[in-house]
Amino acid sequence: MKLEKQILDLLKKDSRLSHKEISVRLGSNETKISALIKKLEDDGVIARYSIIVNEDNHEDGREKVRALIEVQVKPEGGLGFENVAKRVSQFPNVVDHYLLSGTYDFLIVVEGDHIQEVSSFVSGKLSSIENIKGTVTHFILKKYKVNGAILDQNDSSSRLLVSP
Amino acid sequence: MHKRSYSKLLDKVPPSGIRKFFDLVMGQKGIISLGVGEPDFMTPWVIRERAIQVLEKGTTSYSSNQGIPELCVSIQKYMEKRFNCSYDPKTEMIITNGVSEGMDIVLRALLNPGDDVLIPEPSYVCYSPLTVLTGANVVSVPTHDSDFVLDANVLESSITKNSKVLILSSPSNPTGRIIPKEQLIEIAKVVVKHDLWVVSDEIYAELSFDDEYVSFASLPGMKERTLLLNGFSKAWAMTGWRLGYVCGPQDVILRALKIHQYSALCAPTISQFAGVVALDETATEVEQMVQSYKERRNFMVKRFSDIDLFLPHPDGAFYCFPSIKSTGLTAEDFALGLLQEHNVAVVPGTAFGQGGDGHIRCCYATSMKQLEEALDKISKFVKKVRK
Repeated sequence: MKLEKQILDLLKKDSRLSHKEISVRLGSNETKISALIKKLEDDGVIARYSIIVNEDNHEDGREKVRALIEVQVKPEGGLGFENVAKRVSQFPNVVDHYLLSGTYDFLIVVEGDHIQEVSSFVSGKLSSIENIKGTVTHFILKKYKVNGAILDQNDSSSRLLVSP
Repeated sequence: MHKRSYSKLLDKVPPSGIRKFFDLVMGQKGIISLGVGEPDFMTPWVIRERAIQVLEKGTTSYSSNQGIPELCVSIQKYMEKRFNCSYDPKTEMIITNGVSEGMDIVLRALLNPGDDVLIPEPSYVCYSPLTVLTGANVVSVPTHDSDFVLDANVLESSITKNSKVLILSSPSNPTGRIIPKEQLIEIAKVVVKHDLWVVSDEIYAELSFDDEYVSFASLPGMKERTLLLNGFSKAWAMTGWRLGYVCGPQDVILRALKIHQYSALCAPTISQFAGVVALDETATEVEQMVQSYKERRNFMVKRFSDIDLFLPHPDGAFYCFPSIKSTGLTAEDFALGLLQEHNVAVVPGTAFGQGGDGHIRCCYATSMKQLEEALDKISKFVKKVRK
């Protein structure tokens, strides 16, 4: 496995690891690791360092509402979906935004403080953008796994404390 | 009622050194344990999912004694691709209840009372007792002076006129050492010269961190003399599934199968079906687990070097076996002191034979957080006793 990939795998699991800790685990030296990480950042491979929050366990977060919205778009001549995509991505309520193959075109993830905020975003802002033909909104009821991390996992290790 | 008497052979087997320590550890709370001998991963999901399907379908009867043909074929392909060893799935392998059963039936198939078995020490805990139970004798081969890598010259000088079997274990539990190819070639010469059988325990073969693993059976002329033991417990994190296999020459396999069919009947059928998925479909998961062990190995090497305890390079498995001689304590006193003062459990090297004195076995198959805490405490303890 290439060193860059090994660094990314470690940081994806724990973005707080220091360059020193990474160098120890990968049996490399700190200067080399720092240089590689800087390059990954400069090249935009590491877009930013973030955390995974399980809002269900957090009082303030519990009230936030997320919805997945399927969006049908009429592509524009010469521009395809790009012009509409740029406009949709700009809204702060839009957390993720993908172009998909299949029966609809965009899948966007929208976050709001309450259902009304998301609803009014869809009806007032999203639907009124030119060339958006239709939307279907799915509110997220519960999260089980986010970015590869299973939430609320009971770590019930039953290993013996000493074994041969 | 006649006077009670028991197996005289069994009385020759001393009580387990691990068991003794286990009882001590279980009496204490809040332990960080580096004393386990198994992975800290759960079995990869696709393997568990296959077992669930098998249960749902109700395929829960005995398999043939040898094992299900699908698994034998998967093992054949795996051994060929991964270790360059070629075995006939119909006549040259048996699926066993882990490597431990494999070791038992192979030794019983080969040995007579009075034969000598060469066991490089320190060694995994079952080799010596299973040898004794056949009526054969254990001849310990010291490895201490070559940092726990069996040296062909020392092996040669340990040969007796009754020497019949050599047990190899690489990567080794408890030392984490791997015998390099050049040394295996020298060992093979001694094996030919003295006409020995080799029982090669290769359960940790996938966990080789620095070099391509060389199976002893893949060396020229060694397949005919080698009983190769492997299984799913370590690389696939399947310890509780009890699934392993023996590969070797047909004449020995037929004899070992005779014992297996009467004492075990077959390996768990559900595990066998799951084993097919393990070999055929989980290369990525195994690679990720191996990488994770390797990262922790690197961490251990760095920390023991900082603490200034000599550590024979842990090439594989998930153990390291540092020397604690510089502290002036015996292995048992060190382990006991560390447990009582810092709640950290390690296993004294003496649990793996006398060759292990002056060393402790630390298993790093536990979370980085726990490892960091444990090594901080070991560091503190060493500083204190060195004063």
